[in-house]
Amino acid sequence: MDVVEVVERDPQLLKGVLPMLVLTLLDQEESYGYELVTRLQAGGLDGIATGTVYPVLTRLEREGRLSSRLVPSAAGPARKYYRPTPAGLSLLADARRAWTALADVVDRLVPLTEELR
Amino acid sequence: MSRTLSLSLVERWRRSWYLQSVELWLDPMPRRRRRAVLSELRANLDEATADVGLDAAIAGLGAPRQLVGRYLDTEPQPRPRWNHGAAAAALVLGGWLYATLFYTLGMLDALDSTGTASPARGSFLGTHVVAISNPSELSAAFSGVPWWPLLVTVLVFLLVGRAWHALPRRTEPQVSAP
Repeated sequence: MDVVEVVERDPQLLKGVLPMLVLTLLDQEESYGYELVTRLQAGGLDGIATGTVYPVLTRLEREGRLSSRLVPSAAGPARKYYRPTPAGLSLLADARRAWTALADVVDRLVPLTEELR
Repeated sequence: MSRTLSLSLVERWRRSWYLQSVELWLDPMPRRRRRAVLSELRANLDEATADVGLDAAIAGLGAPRQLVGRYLDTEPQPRPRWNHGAAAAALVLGGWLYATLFYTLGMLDALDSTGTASPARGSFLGTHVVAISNPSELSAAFSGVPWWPLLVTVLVFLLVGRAWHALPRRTEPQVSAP
């Protein structure tokens, strides 16, 4: 089962880690909404929908985790580029620590499929 | 990722319809942020359309109501939906006007079929109607204030618009530790 199937079957699984992924990618390089979606897809989340990502950006910006700037585009309306604020980077650090701790526990408690066979 | 976007008339209409639907459902969001969200959504929709086509771009966003649900899920507190309230109130008011007109036409028709030349008086949901139908005159006059229809209209506006969300919130009293 690949990531696309997992996300389609259990969207909540992605919902929990999506802010962390968004903050990580934006920390690496600022992006506008659609570009960020394509970066997530290129990173392995092939099936992720634009309609899942945009509300996360809006929420993180409202909470002061992201800052934005409008950049005129020759192709159409101005693009809104996002990058993490210090509060966003702090949230990202917390999220990474929590994810690592959780992943350790899951790895310990849930044996790999091959080991079960 | 900057491709030129060229849309047919039908595609432009579909994009416009989609964004209008989103705007309608986004009613509970504060106006300034709602405009910002719509503006950004339009820009991203155009980018996606230039990349994968309008069908796939809209499919990626999902149904307008579902998309808006994701936006509103993250709102700190619920707000009134004035547009929805106004639309529902307009429907009620329109229904009442239509019913009053229907009632009046019925009176005129009855006068005509019975050959009554004198005025007929009636009352419909608080509106007094005087109808006249004879060879020299065909008229209807209305008077009175239709309180019940107006009251129902206001109630529908407040209920559908969830007006209670506009009330100031009561803050829980803070209990200090001994």
